[in-house]
Amino acid sequence: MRAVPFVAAAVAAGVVIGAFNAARSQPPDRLPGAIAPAPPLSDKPYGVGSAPFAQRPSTSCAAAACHGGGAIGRPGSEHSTWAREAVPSDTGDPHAKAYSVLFNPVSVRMGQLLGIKEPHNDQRCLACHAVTEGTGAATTRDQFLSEGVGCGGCHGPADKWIAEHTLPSWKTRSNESKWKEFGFVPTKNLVARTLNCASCHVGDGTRDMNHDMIAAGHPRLAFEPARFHAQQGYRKHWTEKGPARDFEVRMWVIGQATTLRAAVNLLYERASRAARVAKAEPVERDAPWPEFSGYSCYSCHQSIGEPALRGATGPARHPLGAPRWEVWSNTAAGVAAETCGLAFPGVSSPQLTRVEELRKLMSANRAPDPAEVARLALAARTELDRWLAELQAAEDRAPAPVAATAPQRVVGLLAAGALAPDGRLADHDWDALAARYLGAASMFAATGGRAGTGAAWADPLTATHGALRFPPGANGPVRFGPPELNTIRKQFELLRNTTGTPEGK
Amino acid sequence: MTTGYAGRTGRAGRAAGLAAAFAGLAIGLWAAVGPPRTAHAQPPGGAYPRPTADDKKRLSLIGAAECKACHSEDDPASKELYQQTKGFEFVRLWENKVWSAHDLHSTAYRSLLTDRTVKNKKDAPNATAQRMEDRLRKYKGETYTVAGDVACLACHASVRQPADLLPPAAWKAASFSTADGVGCEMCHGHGSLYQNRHRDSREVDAKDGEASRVVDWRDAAPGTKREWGLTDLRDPAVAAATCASCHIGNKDEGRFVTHDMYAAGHPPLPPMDLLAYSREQPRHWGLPAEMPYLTKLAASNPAKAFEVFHVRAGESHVARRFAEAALATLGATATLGEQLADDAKKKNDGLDFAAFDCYSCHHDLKYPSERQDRGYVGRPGRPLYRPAAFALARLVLDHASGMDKGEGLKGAPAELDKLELELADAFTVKTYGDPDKVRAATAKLAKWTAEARKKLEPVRYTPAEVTKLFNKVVAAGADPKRPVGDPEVAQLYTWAVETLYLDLYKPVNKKEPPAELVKLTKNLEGSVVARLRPKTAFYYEQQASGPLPGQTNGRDDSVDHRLKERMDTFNSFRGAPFRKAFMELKAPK
Repeated sequence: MRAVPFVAAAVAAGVVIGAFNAARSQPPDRLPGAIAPAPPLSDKPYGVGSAPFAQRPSTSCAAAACHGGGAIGRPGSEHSTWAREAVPSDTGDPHAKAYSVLFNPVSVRMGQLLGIKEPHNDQRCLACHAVTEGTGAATTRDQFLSEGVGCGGCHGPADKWIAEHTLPSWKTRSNESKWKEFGFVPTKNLVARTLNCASCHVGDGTRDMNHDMIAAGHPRLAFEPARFHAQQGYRKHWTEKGPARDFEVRMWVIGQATTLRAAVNLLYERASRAARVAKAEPVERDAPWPEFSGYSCYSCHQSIGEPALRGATGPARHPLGAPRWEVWSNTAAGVAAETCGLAFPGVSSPQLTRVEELRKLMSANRAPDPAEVARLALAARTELDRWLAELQAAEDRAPAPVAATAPQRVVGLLAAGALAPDGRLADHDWDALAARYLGAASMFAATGGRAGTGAAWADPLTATHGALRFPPGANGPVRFGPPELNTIRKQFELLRNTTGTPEGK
Repeated sequence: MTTGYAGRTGRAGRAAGLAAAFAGLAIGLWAAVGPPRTAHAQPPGGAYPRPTADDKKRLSLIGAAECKACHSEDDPASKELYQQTKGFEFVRLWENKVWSAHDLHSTAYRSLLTDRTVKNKKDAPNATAQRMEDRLRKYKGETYTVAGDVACLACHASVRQPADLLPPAAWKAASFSTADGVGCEMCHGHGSLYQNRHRDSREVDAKDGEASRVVDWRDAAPGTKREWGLTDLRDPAVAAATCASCHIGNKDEGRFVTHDMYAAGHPPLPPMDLLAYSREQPRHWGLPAEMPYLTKLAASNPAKAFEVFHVRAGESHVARRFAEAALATLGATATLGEQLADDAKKKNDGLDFAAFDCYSCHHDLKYPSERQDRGYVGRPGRPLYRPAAFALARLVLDHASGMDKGEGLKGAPAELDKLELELADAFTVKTYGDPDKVRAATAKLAKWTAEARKKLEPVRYTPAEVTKLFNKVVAAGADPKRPVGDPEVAQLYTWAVETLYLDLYKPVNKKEPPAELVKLTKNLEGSVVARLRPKTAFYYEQQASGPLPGQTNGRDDSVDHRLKERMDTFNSFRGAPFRKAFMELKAPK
């Protein structure tokens, strides 16, 4: 755990996952199944929504000759690697126990507090803790449930492609046609992959993990695709194509884009539901508005009486005492937009003006008008979809390699952006600092860690991680005070200076 | 507990309110005392005259310096001046001395000073105000100062005329006198009309040792005194509402600490308890039992004593004040809730965050979570009103409904529960409360608390009943089945048992604090905020000389320091030590 990959992988993911895990509750571990009809417009990425096909249980994949070879970590043994019971240690893929956690004491108490009799039998929980769409009769449904978020959750309902994907002709099909015609999620395309992850790890119209649930005991969600891939103890059942640098840089950029897109989409879903409530139209279920889980947790969850900290310094004109919308997914997205041409040479940076308008609207008052939010969120989502469609197409084109200098540029921008012109931290919000840190950690991984060209970043990153980490027993940045902030400020200064980014940029 | 909580001020501000309220008493008291003067001719025995409409238009601030002329005596009983009216048997006459030596209300304005507004060499900028001002400048421009902001002055200075003559909407910085901070008249009422009148006396035939001059003003009806400007702080409901104006907030009176102010750094307002606040103020007046004029009147003319001074022979004035104030405080909170709901409607926004229980949101996230262990009122994850005022009012009603002549309150505890649930629903049905529902629920609650308080009038707080009430509070604090989870409820229970214990306790001498309370304080140290001024030791009645016990000087303590001590303790609240401390408590024999 003190080894080289520590900083990048364990540490980085550790902050998010480890930090939440300090709660010893479950990590935000659910993956989606299927989604709704995909709109045909070409300025949208494919892979959004659910494919209208039947699921197959994971046992269909686990034949010894297919993906159940039994040799952990080897091709042909994907299911064996994924499944927890395949080896005695408990290091399998957390998706495999997504359903079983619904029986644990935390889930049971959550159910009591929320008035959910049986969490393992309630669609609000099962939507992400199992595969339930397209699972057919009750008997097979039980089998699907017991698999947790099984193969179909991430790879798509297999009924139409299970035979097809073994044929030589499968390889000649485009990713888009695999999705559109067969419901297969082409996870090799990082945009398609992370969009699918985000449907649970951020949420969507049918998977809404809200603040009521968090108050009842559910861990908060803080999706960061690049570092989730490097989560400590996570046993990947695949290998990424191409060099690590390409993967890490692209994954980070795409991760920022998809996470923000999913957050905007979830906001859209929540706002349009609230707008229907406002017009006294029927809705599926009780829908709070505004929804707290869309705001930075620690805007509010900070103790009173620490004068140095009160209120994040925030963007200069953020209203006093107002919680900030989606600090987690907004903070580093601008850097990702600025540098997406480094990840995919030839792709130009998007203009995210509607997203910016949405940010303004969301901090204008305590309870923004849901209809207006829905309208603007839809426009912002369209803007992000256009960007994602470009990134996705670039992924499919097998783009030119990422330049060796790209990670340094990204780290420089992340670090410089953390600092205000007067040299102080521009933002004290833990989410904002963590998002920048995780981005820099991804870039550290992209350069090959301590043995690579970014070796000089190792110490600042380790120090930042130490300052961000939640104290024992805490489920948030308790006592996150001037010493921690000062440490972090110094590290970002170091990172900015070692990457040669001009001050003030 | 209710919804619209909000507005007290921080230490300083609170002080202000407090002072206000209590200074009020002082003035009121003194009012009847001053040196003999020739009276406006008045028919003895007739109703006290009332001011004309023109008189009333002139009602304005006179300033503490005027009050001080009489209310600043060291030993009034030895002074020739007061022998004829025996004013010292009615009020202390040293009110101003205690107030200026200890009372934070007198420093309320100085708490607003920053490096930009300090003029006087002996004043230092207050770090809390400085921080707030620096932050607020980003939003309000480079000429902004907190000392010039009417929203701050409202509770940190003395407004020159009452609100009906000078409405809050018309306030400017110049509408305030800053010399006394929250001066006498902010609690006792603007003094220009009663200044002379309240000490006018006329000669009477007196037996030996009795007053040879009477002050007709003293026995005038509270409503008449009110017309002349004097606030009837002897009425617990009036006193509670007066304090609440700043210490909870009252938008109609121009006083409300918004969440913006808190976010800029204003200290949180602690839950209000009239009796505890006045103990710590410290009180500058005598309790009725300590004032011969009142004890004699209660014996000779019980009806008048109750009507004018809210004093009854054989009944604890303190316990009645405590009980009525608990309901009035809940009512004041409800009234603010109504105002905030209206405000939210007007702005088409959620309720100001200051309407909510601060600690619904402002808590550290822990694992395992005590909140989840305890469960939630209504839906998890939705901020609620502050629960403390409900908890105390419920105990008071529960006790009163079992008292002789308390039949009118039989169903009251259940009705209160119902009203609270209604409010909980109004608060949680939408994320920041449903303004229409909050308005309806708080209006109902405000009306209901006033009616319930009226029903307390027939009961008698005899020592036996005060003991029962004490035991009820102790049992609620010690209850393992419904553990107290809210630090503010713990705080109010602690103050309540102190109030009632002291009321029942007959000290051998006034030097030794009651051992039982010393033990309680020790048991709760570091876990419940039992003192508004941290580390203040116990005292029965604080004199003007010397600092508050346990403090080097009652006022050299910075706001920052007091806030830190208070919040550290507040944030360390744990249910178990509190429960244990209450289990050990016994009523005095």
